[in-house]
Amino acid sequence: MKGSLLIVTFFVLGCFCGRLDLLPAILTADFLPTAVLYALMFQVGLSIGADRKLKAILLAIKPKLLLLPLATVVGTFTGAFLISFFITGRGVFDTMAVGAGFGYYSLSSILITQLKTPLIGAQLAGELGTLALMSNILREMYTLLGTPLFLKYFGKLAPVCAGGVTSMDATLPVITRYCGKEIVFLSIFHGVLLDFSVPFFVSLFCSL
Amino acid sequence: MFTVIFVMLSGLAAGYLLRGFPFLQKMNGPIYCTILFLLFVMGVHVGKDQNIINNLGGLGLQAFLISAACTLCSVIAAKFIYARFFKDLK
Repeated sequence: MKGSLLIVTFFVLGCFCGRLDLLPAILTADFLPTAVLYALMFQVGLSIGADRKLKAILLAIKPKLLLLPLATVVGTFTGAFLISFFITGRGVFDTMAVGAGFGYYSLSSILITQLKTPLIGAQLAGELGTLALMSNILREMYTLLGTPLFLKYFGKLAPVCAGGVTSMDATLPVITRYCGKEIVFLSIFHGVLLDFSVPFFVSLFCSL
Repeated sequence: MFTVIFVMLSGLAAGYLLRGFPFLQKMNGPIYCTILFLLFVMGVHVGKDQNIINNLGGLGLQAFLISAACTLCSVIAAKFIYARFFKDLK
C-alpha cells in the first residue's frame, strides 16, 4: 500500500510539473520515457536471470500448478473482453491490454503508452496508459481490501488470482494471513509467471 | 514493437551469466527507483496534455469498471480450478 502511494505521488508530481512547465527541456524530451523504459526492462531481466530462487521454483513446477496463473489469465481476459462492450471509445483489444497488466501498474502503463504512441498518437496513448495505471492500482487495492470476502465466497485460490502479479509481493502478506502458509509458494509462483507474461500480453494486445 | 521484450531477454541472459556478482541479488532498489523516475516522466507528459487532464474523471470510471470485471472473472476462474483440481488444499 505504501509502495503504491509513493508511485501515485510521483505520477501526480510529474503531472503538476508538466502542467506548470517547471522542468528543463531534457526532462520533457519525447525520447526520455522510452529510454528509461528500456533501462527498466533490462534491470528486470537482470534480476530474474540472476535470481537463485528461480531454479528452485522452475524445478518445483508440477503441470497442475500452471492452472493457477492460467485461471488468472483466462479470467482477466474474459472480464476485460466482456466489460469492453460497456465502455465507449475504447476498442476490445485496448481494454484487454489494460487488463493484461495483471496489477503490474507501473510497467503496464508505461508499456502501453510507449507502444501505442506511434499507432494512435501521444494523447490517446497517454490516456490509455493513465487508464492502465489507475485500473491496475485498483486491482491491487481490491485484493488488499477484499481478500477475506474472496476467500469466503470463492475459495483459497481466489485472493491469489485476484492479486495477479502482486500476489508475489504487495498482496502476499494479506493472502498468507487469510489463506494460510501453504499458499505462500503457490502465490509467489503465480506472481512470478504472470510478471514474466506482462510484456508479452501487453505487446500482443497493443499490436492487434 | 518487440524491442522491449528483446531488451528484457538480453537482461535475462546477462543476469544469468553474471549471477555470481552479489549486487545482482539486490536489484529491487534500483528497479524501484527507475519505476518512480519513469512514472514521474510519464506524469510530466500527461500533465503537458490538457486533453487528458480534462478527461481524468471519465478515465477513473473506466478504470473502476475494467479492474472490477477483471478481478471478478479471475476469482470465478479461481473458484472453478479450486473445486476441480485443488481439493487437496481444503
